Amino acid sequence: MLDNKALLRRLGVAMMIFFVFPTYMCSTRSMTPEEANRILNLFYLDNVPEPINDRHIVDAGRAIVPYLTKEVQRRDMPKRGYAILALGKIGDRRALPVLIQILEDRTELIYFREDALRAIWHIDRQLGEKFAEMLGEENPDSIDIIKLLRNGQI
Amino acid sequence: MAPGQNAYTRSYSYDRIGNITYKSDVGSYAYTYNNQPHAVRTAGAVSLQYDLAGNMTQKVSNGVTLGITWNADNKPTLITRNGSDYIQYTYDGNGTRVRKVNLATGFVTRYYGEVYEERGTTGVIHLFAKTTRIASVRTDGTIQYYHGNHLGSASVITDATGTVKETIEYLPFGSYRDRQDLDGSFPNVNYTFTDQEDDDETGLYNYRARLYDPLLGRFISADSIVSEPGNLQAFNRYSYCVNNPLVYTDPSGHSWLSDFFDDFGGDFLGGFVGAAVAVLCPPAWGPVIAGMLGGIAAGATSAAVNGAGLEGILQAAALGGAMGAIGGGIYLNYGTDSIPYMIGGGAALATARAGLEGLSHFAAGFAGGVTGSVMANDWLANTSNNEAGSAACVEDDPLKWNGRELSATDAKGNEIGSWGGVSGRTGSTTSQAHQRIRGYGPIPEGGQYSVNPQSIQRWSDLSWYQKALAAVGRGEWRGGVQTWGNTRVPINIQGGTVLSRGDFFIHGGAYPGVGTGGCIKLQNPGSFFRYLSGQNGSIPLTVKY
Repeated sequence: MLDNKALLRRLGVAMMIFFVFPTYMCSTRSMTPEEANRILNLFYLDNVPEPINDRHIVDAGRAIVPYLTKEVQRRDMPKRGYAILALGKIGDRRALPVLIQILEDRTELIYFREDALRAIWHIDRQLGEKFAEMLGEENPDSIDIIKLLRNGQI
Repeated sequence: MAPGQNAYTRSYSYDRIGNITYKSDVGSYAYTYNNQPHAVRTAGAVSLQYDLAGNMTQKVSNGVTLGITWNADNKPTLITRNGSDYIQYTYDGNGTRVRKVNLATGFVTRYYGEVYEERGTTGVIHLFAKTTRIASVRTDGTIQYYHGNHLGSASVITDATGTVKETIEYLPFGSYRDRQDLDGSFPNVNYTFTDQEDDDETGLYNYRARLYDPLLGRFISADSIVSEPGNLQAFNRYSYCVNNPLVYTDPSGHSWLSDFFDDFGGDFLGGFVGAAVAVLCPPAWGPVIAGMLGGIAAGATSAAVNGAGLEGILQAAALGGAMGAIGGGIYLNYGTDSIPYMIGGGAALATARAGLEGLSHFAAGFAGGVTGSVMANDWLANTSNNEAGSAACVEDDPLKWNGRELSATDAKGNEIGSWGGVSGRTGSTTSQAHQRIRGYGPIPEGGQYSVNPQSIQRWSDLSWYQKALAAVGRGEWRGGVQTWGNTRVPINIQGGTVLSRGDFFIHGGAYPGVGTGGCIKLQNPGSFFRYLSGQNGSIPLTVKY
C-alpha cells in the first residue's frame, strides 16, 4: 500500500514523462535548416491579418530561434519587424544579443529599434526598462510606445 | 335575431376540381360536357346549355326557358324568356354595362359609372366610403342607408330618420333566405349580396365582368382570367370564390385573387412607386432623403389608388415620408443587418392594415419608404460599383478610410456607400507615433493601397479541419468568425510609406469597437462585401486621417 507521499511522487514522475518532458523537448529540439527555411517561407508567404501573421514562427517555438536571429539581422528580410516581435513572443533569451544589437544600432529605422525594444521587454522586463529609458531619451517619439509597454497594452 | 332562431341547414358537395356536385336546395349537379368539364349540364331540375366559348346560352328551370345571346366580348346582350325578348343589355367600349332595358315592361336603367344611375325617371346617387356603399340618394326624395354584414352584403336598410325599411338575409351562395320589405312605399335597394346589383328580372347578380347565378352558386360564363395557375381550383372558371362564399367576395367577377389585388394593389403599387422614386434619387442625397421621398411617393400613390381624397393623400404622403426617412436612417446606421427587422416591421404594419383601415397608407408608406431606401442603397451600390470599377481603371479613389468610416465614391466623387469601422486596437490613436506600432496602431496613412474582390476570403470556404483549428486558436482563421467575421479581404500595398507594416485586412467580426491592429474592422461588413463583390478589379484605397 502506497502512502500519500509516495503516490504524489509517482504522479509527479508520470507528469514529467507524459507532459512536461515532451513539451520541453519539442520546444528545444533542434531544427534542420531545411525545416527552418520551410517555416520561414510559410511566414513570408502567409496571407493572414497582421495580428496573426507571425503564427508559423511563433508556433515553431524555440527551435527556430537560432535561424530567426540570424535572419532578422538581414535588413531586407521580409516582414522583419514581425519576426523581431515574434522573438519576443517566443521568449528565448538566446535572441537577446541580436535584439540588443538592433536596438542600439542608430542606423536602423526607428520602428525596427522599437520592435527590438518590445521583444526585449517581453523576454526580460528589467532589461527592457533599461533600454526603454535609453531609447526614450534618444528619441522622444518612442515615449508613446514605452508608455504602452509599461501599461501592458502591447 | 336571437341565437338559434330560424336556424337552417344546407349541405354541399364538391369534386376535386372545384365543381359543386350537390347543393341541397338545388339537387345533384352533372357535368357531362366532355370538352367543358366545369360547365354544369344539369343541376337538380335545371338544365343548361353553353356555346363553344363557355357562355351559358340556355337555362330551363320551372318551365321557364331563358335564352342568352352573347357578344364578341362574351357579354350577354339579350335574354329571352320563353322565346320572347326580355332583357337587353348595352355596354361601353370597356365592357361596362351602361344600359339595361326590360323589353317586357319598357323600364330602362342607365348607368353612369359607379356613383350615378337612372332607374326609369329616378336618378340615384350612390355614396361610398372607400369601396363601401353607404347610401343611395334618390331624386324622388328618399335616401337608402346600407348596413352591411361581414361580406358587405346589404342586411338592413334604413331611411334618413334611421327607421328600418328593409331587412335581407342570405344563404351562403347569395340567394335570399329572407327579404322583408317593411315599408311598401319605400323603394327596395338594388345592390344586395356582396354589394352587387341584383338583376331581379333574371335572378342573377351583376358582377360586372360576369353574371352570377346564386341558386346554382356558379357564374354563367367562364372567367377570362386564371389568376392562380398553381392552384387547381383556379382552373374552374365558373366557381364562385373557390366555393368559399362565407369568407371571400368577388367584386369584379373575375376571381377572388384578382379582387385581393384590387384591394391591396394600391399598396403594392405604392411600394413600387416609392422604391422607384428612391432609386432615382441622386446617390449624394443618401438613404434618409431617398427613403423619405420614396415614402412620400409610396404613401401618396397608395392613398390615391385606394380612393383617398386630397387630405388623405397628403396625410399618407407625410406619414410615408416620415416612415421612409426613419427606414433610411435605420439602414444608414445599421446597414443590411437591419433589413430583416425593417421587413418584419413593414409586414406587421401591413398586417395591421386589415383591421385598422387608418394604417393602410401608413403601412404602404413605411413599406415603400423602407423598400425604397434599401433598394436605393443596394441598387446604387451595385450599379455605382460598376462605375467605381471603371473609375479604378482611371486611377480614381473609390475607397477612402478616414479612421472612422470607409466610404466608396463614384468617378465624379459622389459618395455611393459608407461603412463605419475601426482600425487600431482599443486605446490607439491616428497619430504618426501610433501608426508605426506594429499590431497596435491603425493602418498607416502614407501607403498606396488597393483591394481586390478576387482576394476575398470566406469562412464558408474553409474545410472542417481548418474550422476546427480556428476553434482551438490555430490555423489561418484563428479567432474564428468572432474575430474576423464571415468574410475578409487583404489590403494590398502598392507602395508608399507603410513603416514596414503589412498584412492589413478589411473584415467584420464581433466585439464592436475593438480593432485588430492595422486591419479595418467594419460594423456592417456584409454590405461592404456585396459592394466589393460587384467590382471588376482592384480598387484603390486611400487612407487619410
